[in-house]
Amino acid sequence: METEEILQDLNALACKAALEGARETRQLAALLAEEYRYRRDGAGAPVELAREAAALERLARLERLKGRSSFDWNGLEGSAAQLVPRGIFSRFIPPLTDAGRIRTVRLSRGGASSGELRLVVALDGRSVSRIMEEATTEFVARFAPLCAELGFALRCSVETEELTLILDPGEGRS
Amino acid sequence: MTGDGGLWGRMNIRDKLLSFYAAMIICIIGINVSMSLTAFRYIRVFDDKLTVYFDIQEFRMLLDENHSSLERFLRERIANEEQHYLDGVPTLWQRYTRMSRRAAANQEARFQLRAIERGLNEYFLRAGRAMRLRDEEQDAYYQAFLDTLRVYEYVMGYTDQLLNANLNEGNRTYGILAARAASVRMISFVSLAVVGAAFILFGLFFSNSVSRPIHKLAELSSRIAAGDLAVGLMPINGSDEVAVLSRSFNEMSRSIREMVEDLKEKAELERKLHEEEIALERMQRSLEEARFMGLQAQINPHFLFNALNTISRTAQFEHADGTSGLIKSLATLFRYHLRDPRKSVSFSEELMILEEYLSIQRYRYGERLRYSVNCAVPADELQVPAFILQPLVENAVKYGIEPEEEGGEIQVEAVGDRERTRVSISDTGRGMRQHEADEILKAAREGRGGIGITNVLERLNLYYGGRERVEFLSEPGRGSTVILSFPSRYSEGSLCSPS
Repeated sequence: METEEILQDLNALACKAALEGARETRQLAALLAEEYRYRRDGAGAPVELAREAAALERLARLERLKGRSSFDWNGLEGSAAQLVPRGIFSRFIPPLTDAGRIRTVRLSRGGASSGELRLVVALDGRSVSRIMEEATTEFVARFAPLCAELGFALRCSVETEELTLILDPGEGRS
Repeated sequence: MTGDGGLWGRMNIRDKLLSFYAAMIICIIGINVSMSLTAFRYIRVFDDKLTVYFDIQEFRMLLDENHSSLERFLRERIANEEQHYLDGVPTLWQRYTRMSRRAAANQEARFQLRAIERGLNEYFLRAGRAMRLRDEEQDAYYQAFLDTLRVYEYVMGYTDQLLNANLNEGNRTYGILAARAASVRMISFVSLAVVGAAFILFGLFFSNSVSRPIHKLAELSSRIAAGDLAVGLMPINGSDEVAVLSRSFNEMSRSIREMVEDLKEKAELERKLHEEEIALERMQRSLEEARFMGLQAQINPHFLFNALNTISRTAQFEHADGTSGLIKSLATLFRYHLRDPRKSVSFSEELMILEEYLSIQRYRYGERLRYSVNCAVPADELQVPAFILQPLVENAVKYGIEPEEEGGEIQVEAVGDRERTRVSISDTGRGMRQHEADEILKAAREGRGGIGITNVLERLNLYYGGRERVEFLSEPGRGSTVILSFPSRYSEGSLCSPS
């Protein structure tokens, strides 16, 4: 089964929802189709931060109905054209959602170099589980080489109820 | 003697034996002939000596007889005696002549012979005078007879001395001959001992030269028979039968060694090929797994089903029942597609997925797509490779039904018995010429056709090992039929009987 087949079926689903007047359903089906269209091109290739952030927002919207999670990337509009590895943020979220409920996802700049990108995932009233830690470690190991190709260093930090993914351009370039 | 280039080395065993026996026989004959000749010569010497003795004795007896006749004539005047005496005179000289030829053994003998000769002359002179006086009847005859008698005694004395001289000479000769005979006997004994020793030595040498290589040959053959091919070469001496045997053995062992080396190389090659095949298969399996895992990572089934679940709940909330049903069918289909394609499934699962697929297509095509599925086999027990029906039905929808404005009908039928199962997928769509259908099937079999049908044929072939049959029948305007026929494989514990 290829991603293309899923896309076709999701499009058919969106059409069916539209025919039945189910607007929210149609939007969600379209969002899911959009997500798979974005995924179709694989991970690691350079992509504008705006597109990656949009994918992150789609995920947040798809997840939002499951609970009270929200997404925020205010303050990054000026960096919309910056290139980051495709999937660096959007593929980080689904494994976490498999393991627990997410309260907020916030993408921001931070750190001493101020060129650093931080994705902070706050959990919904629970501490970070071992499965989440393993998923994060595995993700960092998988994406670190892809980030290095674009001059970023990838690392993460684990707090009690927070997981932070850090994309540092200074370390990667050095 | 054992060199390759020598005459002995070039002879075969039979010729060697014959040559040796001939040499031995010649030696023995030579020794015997030599001894016989020597003995014969000695006998002749003795014979000569005895003849001399005999001649001397005969002369002596004849002289004595002649003298007796003379004496009887002179005393009694018997005419016969006179005649007898006169007849004996030439005979006596003949005997003397013969004796003088043989008895002159040494100086002394020659002296005696001359004395005898002179005495004999004197004797006959005096005897003749005595006989004449007797014929004249003179009394002086007696004195003449006495003179004759005295000469007679001298001659007899010389004759005895001659005999003694010859006896002495014969005795000396006998001593020499006896010593020589002893030497000859010793030589003959030594010769026989030498020949005997040569015979024994040759026997030992020859038996060793024949038996040692054969023993070595037997030992090397046993080692080869026991699997030890690293035996050395047989040494080759000469060109007899043993050398031929050794040369042949060396050739044979070399051939066997080369053959075994070839076999080992082939086995090693086959092992490497097998290992390479295994490695290739492992690599292909790894690639398949990697591809499968990659697809899983890309699609992220958990995320997909979570999202579908969210959408389904939204559709239910919005009372979109058709959408909700479609989502359910999609989820089922996705789940089936995201399973490991290398594992077999029950035929009922395959049919269920087919129906889900067709129901989804019904959302797209509406009344243009009609279908029926009839199964006359125990679908729960029958095991088949996954994804063998849906790609074929998808082709039927895509190329058969979709181009037709009024759509068409798809029929799926499964029949069979405990030996084989036959599944047909028919559509009433556009169809094509049979040669086009044949070309599509041929291309799929050669791996250069459409992905769907090629994949189905590959998996059927892998699963059934070539015992499957696929037919593709088509007619323009009347639709197409794909027929799959394969061995019925039931899960363990099933009744294996079609319903």
